[in-house]
Amino acid sequence: MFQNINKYFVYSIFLFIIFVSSAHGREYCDEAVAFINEVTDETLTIINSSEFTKNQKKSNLSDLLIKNADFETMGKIMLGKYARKLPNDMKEVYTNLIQKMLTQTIYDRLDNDEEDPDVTYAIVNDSCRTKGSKNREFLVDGDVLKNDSRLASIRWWIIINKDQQYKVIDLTLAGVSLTLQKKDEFTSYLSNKSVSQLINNLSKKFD
Amino acid sequence: MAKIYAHKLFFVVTLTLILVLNITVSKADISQFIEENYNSSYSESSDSELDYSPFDPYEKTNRKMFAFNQAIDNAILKPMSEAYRDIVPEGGRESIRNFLRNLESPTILFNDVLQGEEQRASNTLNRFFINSSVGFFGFGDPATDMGYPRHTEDFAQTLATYGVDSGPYIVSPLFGPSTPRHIAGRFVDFAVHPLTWYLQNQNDGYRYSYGISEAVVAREELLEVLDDIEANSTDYYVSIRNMYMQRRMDEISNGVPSDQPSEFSIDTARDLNLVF
Repeated sequence: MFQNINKYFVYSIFLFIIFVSSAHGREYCDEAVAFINEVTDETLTIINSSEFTKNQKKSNLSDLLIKNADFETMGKIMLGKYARKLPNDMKEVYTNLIQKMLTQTIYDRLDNDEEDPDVTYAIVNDSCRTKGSKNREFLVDGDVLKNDSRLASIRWWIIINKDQQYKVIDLTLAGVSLTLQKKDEFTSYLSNKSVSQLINNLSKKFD
Repeated sequence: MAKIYAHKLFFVVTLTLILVLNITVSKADISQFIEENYNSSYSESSDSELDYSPFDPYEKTNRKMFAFNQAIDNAILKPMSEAYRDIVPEGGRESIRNFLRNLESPTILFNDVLQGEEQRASNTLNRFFINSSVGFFGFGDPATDMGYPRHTEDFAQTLATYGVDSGPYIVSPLFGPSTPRHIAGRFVDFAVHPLTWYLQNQNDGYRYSYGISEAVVAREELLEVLDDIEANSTDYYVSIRNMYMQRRMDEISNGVPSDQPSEFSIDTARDLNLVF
């Protein structure tokens, strides 16, 4: 009799833990989608605006990304195993360059219809799932619409940082992951050059 | 009483063993996965059916071919595309684009059917009939507004869905980024393209005009995109190779993000003391 009670008690605890953990995942996922929707709304307001000049758009997009993206983590993913070779005194310089490079790249990817001002974009983010060991990382999937027609898929990889803020760490547009693309480039570059040379190259292009 | 304690002890030991073994095994697997996929040169999909193979054993030759293609592009194709843009207004260019795309419909339909994609095949068929009639021989694209959006499909994608490996990355002369599977697919697509048979009985001028106009129209669409990629990359060759590979994966999966790739997790990497 006691044996059974004991068994049921243990099972109940397990079930409770599983339930609480998945409920947390769902709750965080809802927050993650809300965060991404807010970011996309702000991005589209900038990109679709006819009031801003090109430089103003770029500057506003840069501010938005600084607020909502984790460039340090993105930069580390791009360096992969070479991240260990990044000298401490160069970390800040490198992160700043990554921020400039990504702002430029994202801006170029999103703003390619200069000739046709009537084109409007929309993004509908409709699914989210957690990943990783701590339920702090999420993949949010959606569609990019151009004049109401589906143009491409979009996938956001976001993370909750130590300050409990949601931050974007990758953007996959039409199947092309920005972070993985840059990682491939950097790995190839660093196979026969140093991290300092990479930083010099980036600063020539983006500083 | 002793029996209850023995039972409890057995339960706790078993649970501990399961947890420890599970963590050890999954950590080893994940560690290997991360080292292979994220700390190595390339990321590779674990979904064998989609076969994202960034294998580039002929990189030296490929780079030379890439430089050759770029020289041709800079000398001929790009200036032609820029001139085409300057001469033909946006509306006209869009009509020409639509017309050429409509001609691809039979090839797309052929591959939709081979892939068993009934809905997409029906979509292609509807598009072809609507655009060829209401859209005035395909110069217009009313089908998209009527709920039949365009999609692409080719024989290389069909081969991929049948599980055929892509093979190594190859830069082919004039055609650019490719793989043996993609090259083989191009031959089949060329053979099933209706214009291939029609133009066989026409003079060379028609054949060349069609080929050149397709190249110019496609290049014109990519003018800014390629300029931006070149300007923003540290290695243009690698950028193009990576984008080609990722785009092909996306096309093979019909634009549906796979659940398999990018399973890399920052937290897991931190747990394993890797980089982060």
